[in-house]
Amino acid sequence: MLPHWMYEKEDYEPEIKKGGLFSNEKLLKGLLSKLHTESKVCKKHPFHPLVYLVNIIIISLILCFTYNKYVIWIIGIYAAALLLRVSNKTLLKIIKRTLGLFVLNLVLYSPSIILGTGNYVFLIKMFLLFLSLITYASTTSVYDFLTALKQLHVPDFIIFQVDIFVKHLHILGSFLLKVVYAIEARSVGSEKGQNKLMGTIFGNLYLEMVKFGKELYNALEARAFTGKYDYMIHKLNWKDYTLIFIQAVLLVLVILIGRG
Amino acid sequence: MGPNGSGKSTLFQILEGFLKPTSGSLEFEGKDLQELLANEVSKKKFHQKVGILFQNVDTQLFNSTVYDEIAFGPKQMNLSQNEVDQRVEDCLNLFNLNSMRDSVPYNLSGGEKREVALASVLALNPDVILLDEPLVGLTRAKRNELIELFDKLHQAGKTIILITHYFQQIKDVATDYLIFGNGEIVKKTGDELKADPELIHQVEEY
Repeated sequence: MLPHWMYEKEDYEPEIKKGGLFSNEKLLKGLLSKLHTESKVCKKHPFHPLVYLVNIIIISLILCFTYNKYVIWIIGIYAAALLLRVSNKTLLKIIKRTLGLFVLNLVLYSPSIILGTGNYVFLIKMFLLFLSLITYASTTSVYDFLTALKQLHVPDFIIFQVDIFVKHLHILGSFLLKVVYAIEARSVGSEKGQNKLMGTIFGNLYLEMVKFGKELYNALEARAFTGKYDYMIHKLNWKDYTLIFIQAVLLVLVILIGRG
Repeated sequence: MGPNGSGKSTLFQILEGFLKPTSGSLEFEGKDLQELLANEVSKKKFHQKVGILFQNVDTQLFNSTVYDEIAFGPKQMNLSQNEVDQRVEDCLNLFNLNSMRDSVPYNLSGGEKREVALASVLALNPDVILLDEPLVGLTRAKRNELIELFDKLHQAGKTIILITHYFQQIKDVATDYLIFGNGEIVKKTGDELKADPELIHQVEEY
């Protein structure tokens, strides 16, 4: 027999209080959705993972060490040229992220500009560095990044740590997103007492992570994992050779102009 | 019903308003769902009227005791403390969970967690209840008990929508079926499905 109240319709007016635990729910969900979205293995590789990673390392190093305006111009044109091959949607994402990060850093750097000790070349370098790094991050999957690290002979245990860290982030995002959904589904009135939930949510999250860690360890052990990290073998194609050629030309130019 | 990965759980997330449909629109009580969700008051009323049980109930239990878990919703519904206590007591009785009133939900077994999560949904007294594979991981006896409870809730005027792979156990109580597969959704009444042995065979394979 069901209790009598289950036969009746609920008639209440929900109280609304601003500033609860999930007052910034949209932002929170957006952030967790990003963590939750698993990195996909690209089937169609724009560039060889190693060549592409070396490319970004070279650009970053040049930008860090040079103050020569011509070199910065060349890097700027090169970074813009690399953007030509991305889709409109990705391009918009890259520009938004780059500008966001740049503005944030501009605010931090603004005291130097106000006091007259700022260096505008530094700002351009910073912008180009962000643009290059965000272009790389937006066009490379985690799997390709790990493959490139492996080919750079980074020790397996480091690659393994990075890989596990990314998987943990994914699980963390997935778990928290579902918890947020669960709380939202049962938040039918004023959000009193919700702030007390934080401890339990993070406690459960910690327990889940420990459980995942143990299960992963057991799974690896059960499948006789030896610590060797395997990766997909990619062949170099004409695009990769072109990129290598451009990198070589860039380095020569930087050395020549830098000296001159 | 349908094979894994056919979008059943995603449909539930859309029905509960967690995800926006990529095309088409949804109406609840004659109003566009997205418009309802844009307003805080109507959004909260909607969540009271449409309850959901997740497939993975671990994420649905976020309080420190079973009592707090079940009382979480009713406490927000302008009920007196006595009424909240009564609701919790009634829900605990429905699933014989009285001895677990002060237990930590995380430490319960899979089946018990599912019952606590379902009790916490029922405590809101929703009109529509979405149940994502509520029968998984339960013994046959427990499954039958739950199906009996769903039937009673249905008799009490509630709409129960559930995802399941146990066609044989629900066929006597289910009124309508949505069958997912081959990129399409087929709607059948109970009688239509029973008259189609080929479709029954297909459904039993899921």
